[in-house]
Order: sequence, then structure tokens, then C-alpha cells
Amino acid sequence: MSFMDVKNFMIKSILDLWKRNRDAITGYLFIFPALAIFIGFIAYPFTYELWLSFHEKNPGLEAKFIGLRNFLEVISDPTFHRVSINSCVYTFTAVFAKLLIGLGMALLLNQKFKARGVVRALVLIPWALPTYVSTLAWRWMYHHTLGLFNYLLLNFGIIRHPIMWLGDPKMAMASVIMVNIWRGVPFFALILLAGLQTIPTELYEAADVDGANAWQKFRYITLPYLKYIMLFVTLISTLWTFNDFEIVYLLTKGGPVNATHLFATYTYEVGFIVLKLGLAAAIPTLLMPFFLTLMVKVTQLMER
Amino acid sequence: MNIYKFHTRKVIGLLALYLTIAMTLIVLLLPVYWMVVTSLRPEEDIYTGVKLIPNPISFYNFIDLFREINFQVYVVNSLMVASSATSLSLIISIFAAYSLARLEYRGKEYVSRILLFAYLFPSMALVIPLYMILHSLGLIDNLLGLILVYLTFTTPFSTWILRGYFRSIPPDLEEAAMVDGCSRIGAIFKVLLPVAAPGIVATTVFSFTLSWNEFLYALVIINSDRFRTVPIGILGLTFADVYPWGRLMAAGVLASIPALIIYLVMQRYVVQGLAAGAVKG
Amino acid sequence: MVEVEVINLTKIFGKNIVAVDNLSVKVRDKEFLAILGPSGCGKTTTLRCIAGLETPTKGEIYIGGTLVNYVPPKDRDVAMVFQSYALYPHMNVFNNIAFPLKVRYSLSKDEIKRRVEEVAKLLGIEHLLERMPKELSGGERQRVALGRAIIRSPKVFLMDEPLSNLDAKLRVQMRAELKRLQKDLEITTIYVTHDQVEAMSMADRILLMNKGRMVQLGSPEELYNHPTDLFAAGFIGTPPMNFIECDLKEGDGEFLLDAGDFSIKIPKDLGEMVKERCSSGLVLGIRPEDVLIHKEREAALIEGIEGEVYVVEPLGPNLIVNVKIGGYLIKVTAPSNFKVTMGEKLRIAFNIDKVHIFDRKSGKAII
Repeated sequence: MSFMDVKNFMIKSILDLWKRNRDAITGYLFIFPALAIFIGFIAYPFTYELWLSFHEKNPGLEAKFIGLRNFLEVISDPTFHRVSINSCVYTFTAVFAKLLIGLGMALLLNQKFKARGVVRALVLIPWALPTYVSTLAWRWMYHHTLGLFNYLLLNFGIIRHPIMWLGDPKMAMASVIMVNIWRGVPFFALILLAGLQTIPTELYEAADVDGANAWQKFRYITLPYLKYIMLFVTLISTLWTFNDFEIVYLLTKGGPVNATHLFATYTYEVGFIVLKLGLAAAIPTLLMPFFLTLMVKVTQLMER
Repeated sequence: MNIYKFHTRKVIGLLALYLTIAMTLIVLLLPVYWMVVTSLRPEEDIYTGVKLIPNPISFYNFIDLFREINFQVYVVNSLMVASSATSLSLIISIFAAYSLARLEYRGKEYVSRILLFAYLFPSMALVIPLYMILHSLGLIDNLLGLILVYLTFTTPFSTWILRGYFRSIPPDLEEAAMVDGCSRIGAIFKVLLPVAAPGIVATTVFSFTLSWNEFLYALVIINSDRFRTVPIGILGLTFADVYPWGRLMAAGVLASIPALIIYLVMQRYVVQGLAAGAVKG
Repeated sequence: MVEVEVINLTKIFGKNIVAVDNLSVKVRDKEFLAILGPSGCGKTTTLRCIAGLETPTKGEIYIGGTLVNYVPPKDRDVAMVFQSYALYPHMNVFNNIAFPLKVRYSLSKDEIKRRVEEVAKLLGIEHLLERMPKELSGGERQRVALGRAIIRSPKVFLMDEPLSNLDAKLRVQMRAELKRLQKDLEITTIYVTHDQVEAMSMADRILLMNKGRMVQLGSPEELYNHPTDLFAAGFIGTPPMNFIECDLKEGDGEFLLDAGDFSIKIPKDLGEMVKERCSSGLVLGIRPEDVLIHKEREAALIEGIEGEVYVVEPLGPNLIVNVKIGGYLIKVTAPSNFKVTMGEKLRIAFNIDKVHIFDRKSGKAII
């Protein structure tokens, strides 16, 4: 067999393969760029991150393998303990509040009233604004002498001395959580509202005829219908809120005295200010099992 | 009960509703109001005390941003990064979404799960390694590096939304086009995309907004002033612990305008798209 | 000469959903073939395989003598009318019809305009050319879909229940028009439907399918008068054929079909034939119009089976009398002037020449 024969045979077989599996090949081809991004920018960096957490690395120097030392250092660090408590308090309080308030707002927006569309559009503004913009605006409102809050509270006689919203370690966490709630409620409200609107109104009408009051209708009709959506939005918000960075960074940078330091801000500090990259990598690695569980649960829910 | 009691009950109920709505709106929009008010007050006036209505009104803060600081540079940078990331991810995600919505092949469910995973991946775990990878590629302090990094969240997100949208369009139309004489790609561009236009618009809006507002990666990757995007540029207005609130608020207003305009104009599609992606999965 | 030949076509979805099972049929040149069957019988899947929108799992498809299994739809030179019409919503009627031309050939604008207007005139829609699909009524959309199909003069027309979304009156009208159109254009046509009246009135031949398999292939007349099995017999014809389960009984040189509550005498030669082919477990089939009905007082004149009128359905030109005999309800067509009331007793007899006998177990026709 000559070279030409072999070449022609190969070309023919490839063409034949293409013709037979046209759709499947197209499918793989089309998805390839997106997958490449995933592999190159997520899978590979993540593996690198895992690898890093077992090394000591400072910028400019070679990475040195040190086994589990980073993890031990992190776990025994009192600041990390503080950060963990903060993150849990921050996340669970904020998500819980967002769920309740969001549900309330969704119920509100589900009523029929004039200019409902306009109100709905306005409600989403906190979410549509860039986070850093609204966070800075809140920081300004929290200002202890020139801020709006102290001004109003003092003027109405509700408090006698200005509150150090961000300077007082006891207030700082609450202040930071409030901003997160303010920003996140529209997301909850919108998704829950979409869920509410899938509930057939006949169910409520039948309940009315049967004599149910508002609370009963809520408990036996609304809640069961919203179960999955509430779970979904709670899980995804938990995942995001645990990773929150901007709000704390712009309000307090984690202070005062680490009162508001969260996992994300702490990792940033260790990695980009203290410049211990290996140590900084160990923190997310430690948290990944928890995050992965959340991600898997959310993925499962989305596929139902 | 008699008809008057019933009527009064209704009126009270309606009043309560409107009151609650008004209070909710006030709480939600208070910071925006505060920001606008502050931005219109000259710096010296701000330090004299709180005013609920700016008096005198001055645009000095806004002008200052462009005169003394290179705000326009930041805007241009943000525009470049956001539009590049958005257009790139749009092309990639249109094909990816089509593949997931219309074609059948082995391993398809795994792929769609991977993409969802990609979107949900916590950025905390990726900042450090991405920084180091970009550093080794020489892309630190480089807008291209930022664009590439932004693809990590714009692409999965766009793909997810577009996939849901494509699935809601009956495949009849593309099939008719293919029988009429189009290749698959021809059918996509001539039939599917025009019909899917609202979904594509929503996706573009989302991607652009996400990129325009992004903070963490911009903070970490860009160092020199001339490459700064708007979020970090605004942050740069503060040095030591001095916060020029007038200018900061003015910058905030400016930074919000594109996002708000796009949002309010496209609001109908945004709500639709978000709901479709979340509720119908 | 365009023949469409399907050889041993099998299509399996997923792991084990068999949509089409070993189907073979040859569609003749210029023929109107209807693929008829209940929903889920595989008729649409077969059509889509011919169009190229599905790939066969096994088997071959030939269009005009060429093997097209791996040829994409655009290269098969077929035109398809979808059940939903699939009109391009973002284009007006003119562009919808012109689309196949624009995509395939580089014709001048004038040439395209000429052809579109020609087709539009043929279908009576030239006044709609500027409208958008959403502004059209169902019947108008259907014609646009037709226009888009015929403008190319393809080798084969494929139609997937094109009339099922129209209201009854329009459907009847379009049936006649479509049949005429096909004869005028002389293009081989394959037409999928679940409506047997449609298939019977329009097709040259009918391919009857059930559960992915071919049940019978033949002209409407063949299917009506000589159904090869129970399913075919029961599916074709309105009102449907009456079925009576019975066994062959022989005695005194006479043959009877014993249905439990009553018996039917059959001629000797028929009885011999039945005995030969199958003796146990039979089903007798007789169409309503082949049942003779007589009032009680005339009963003495003929031998028949006694029954009671259960209900009468007046149907314009004739009546359907439901007669209860034993445990069976037999439908009988009678002229509209046949006076009969509910509960009345009368006798029915079967036209022996038109009787069908099936093997109960296999469902196949013996006579």
C-alpha cells in the first residue's frame, strides 16, 4: 500500500466518522470553549491552590513543601477562631434575615395594587447598584458625626450619644450585617416572588370557601409550594455570604480588632498583605469540603 | 358584618399595604438618596453638618473627578474590560448553551453540572492561584488578564441563562430551517438567535453588570493607576484615612448610572431571565 | 422518478424506547402515502428519519435511489410541513416563503419575488405577504407553511399532521385542496396523521402503524374491506367495526359461531375454511353498515338474532342504532327514516359476504 492509499483511507474514515456522528461531534465542538475556560481558569487554578496549601510560598521565593504545617498554623491561630465565629454569625444572621424579610416583601409584591410594576423595579435597585458604591454610601451613613443615622437618631431623641457604628467592636458586626441584608433582600424577594406566582390562585379561593384564615392559607398552601425555592435560595445565599468580601473590606477591613474579619478578608490579608501565600491558600482549602457540600446540594436542587 | 365595617376593613387593609410599601421603599432607597444629596454639596459644606437637602447645590464634585483625578481613564478601562468580557463570553456561551439545549452526546449531564459548579465556585479559593498564574504569564497589571479572569464567572452564568432560554423555544423552527436548506450554524444565526433576542439581551446585561461592578479581582490584579477600573479608582480617592465624601459620593453616582440605566431599561427582560433561570432551572 | 424506500428502519431512543421497529416500505413515484396510526405508534419518528431530523438506529433510507442515512436534511431535497407550521416568527410571510430560496440558491431579487408571488397566488394568500405570522389565522398560517414547502419543488413532501390544528370545517376543506394540490404538483408525498378519515380520503396508499410496527400497507379500499388484523379492522372505519368473540361449533354438518348468548349460522364452505385455519378462539368482525336490521314483525321472514334497542344516534343522513344482543352492543347503520325507539325489540342479521373472522390470540385475519 502506498502512502497515498493510506492517506486517502484515513481521510475517508475521518469523513465517514464525521458523517455518522455529525450531531454528537458538533455537540462536543460547541461546548469545548466553555469547558476549556472551566479547565483552565477553575479546575487548574483550584488544583494549584490545593497544592499551594501544602507549601510555604512567599513572592519571589521558591515554594517549599511543608506538609500539613499551614493547616496546623491556621487551626491554632486565635485570629482564625475569631474569623470563624464572625463568619458564622455574619452568614447565618444575614441569610436568615434576608429569607424572612425577602419572603415578606415577596408576599407584599404579590398583592395587586397600583404601580406594582414600578415598585417591583425600584425594589431591585439595591441589588442592581454596584456593591462598592452602596457600601461606601452606607459607610457615609454610618459616619459618627456627619452620618445620616446618628443625625436622625440624635434629632429624634432616640439616643443621647452618637453611636460608633463601625468603630465600636460591639456594633461593628451588626452594622456590617445590615448592609449585607439591605443588599441581598431584593434577590430573595424576586426569586420568592417568582415562586409565589406559580401558585394557582384557585387554591387560595378554595381555602377561602373552606374557611381558612390568612395564617392557615400561608402555612398549608404557600409554604409547601415554596419549599424548594426557599431551600435553593437559602443555600445559594449561604454559599455567597460565606464568601463575602467587598462589604467588610470597604467598611471596616475586618476591624475593629478583628470584630468583623471574615474568611474572605482574612485570606486576602494573609495572602496579599502579609504575603504568606501558602498559608493563605490553606484557609479556603480547609473550607472547601463545606463549600463543596453546599455547591452539590444547590446543583441537585437546580436539576429537579 | 355590615357593609360599612367590611368597607372600612378593606380601606384599612389597603392603607396598611401602601404604608408598608412606602416604608420598604424608603429603607431600600435611603442610601441612594443620601449618596445623591452628598454628591451635590461642595466639600466644605459637607463638613459643616448634615443637611437633608443640598443647599447650595454644586456640581463641583463631579467636575473635580475629571479634572483632578483621571476618572475618565477608569471609566474607559471599565468599559473596555466589561465589553470585552461580555462579548467574548456571549459567543462562547451561545455555542455552549446550544450544545446543551439541542444536541445529544455522551456525558452531556456531566458537562452541564460542571458548568453550574463553575459558576458557584467560591472566588476565595481562586483569587490566589489565579493571581499567581497570571503573574507567571506576565498578565498582572494588565487589562487582558482581568478580562480573562472575568470570563470565569460571566461564561458559566451566561451559558446557564441561555440554555434555559433556548430550551423554551420549540426546536421546530431550527428544524424547519435545516430542512429548508440551512446548515446547523446557519439555522442558529438565521432563526434561533433572532427569536432568542430577549434572552440574549438579558444575558448581555447581566454579564456587563457583573463585570462592571467586579471588585476583588480588580483590586488584586491591577496595580497601576492607568489601568484601574472604576471600583478601584474610586477606592483610590481615599488615602490614609481621609475620605473625601463629596467626591466619593459623586463618583458613586457616576458609577451607578450605566448600571442603573441598563437595568431600568432592560428591567423587564432581567426579571424574566432571572426568574426563568432560577425557577425553571 | 422519485421513490422513497425505507428498509428495516429501527429507531431506539435512550436505552430501550423502541419508537420504530423494523419498518420497510417503498413509496412510489408521485404517490400520496399516508402513515396512519394512534399517537406514539412511531409515525412521526419515521417521517423525521426520512427528513434527516433523526438518525436511524438500524436500517436504511433511500430517496430517489440514493442512500441518505448520513446526509443532513438540507441536502436531501425534501420539504416538510410541521404540525405547528414552524413559521419563522421574526420574518413576514414573504420572507418565510422566500427563505428556502434565499438559503439555497443565489437568485436575483426579482426572480425570488416572482416565484413567491406565484406560489402565494396558487394558495390564495398573495394579500398576506407583508403580514407577520402572529397576525395570521390558523388556516392562513397553514397555507404559508405549504407555500414554503412547495416553492422549491422538492423531490419529496413530508407532512406531519398539518391539518390537526385547524377547526373541523377548515380541515375538511383543506383536505380536498391538499389532495388536489398534490395531484397537480406531482410530487411524491408522505403524510402523517392519526385521523383515519383524513388518510382514507386523501391517500393513494395507507401505511398503518401501531407500536412502532407496520400493521398493514395498502390502498384505502384494501384496508377497509380486507384488514389483515384486529387492530387494522378496528382502527379504520367510522363508526368502528363490531367485534364478537366466538368459537366455531360443528354439529350435524352445520357450522355455528357460538358467542355464548347467541349463535350465528355460517355456510358450510366458510365453516370448513375456518376450521382449517383455526378452530378455537375467534373474533367475528362486522361493520355497522353490513348488519341487516329488521323490526320484530318482519322477523319471521329472515333468520336473525334477537336484540333490544339500547340507544339511537341520529347522524343526519342515517342513524346508528345500538342493539343489545347478549352481552354485546352492536352498532348498526340504518336509513334515517327507519322508525325505531329505545327498548324496542328487533332482529339483526349479518351480511355473510362481509364478515371478517380473526384469530383471537394472534389478531390476524383468517377470512
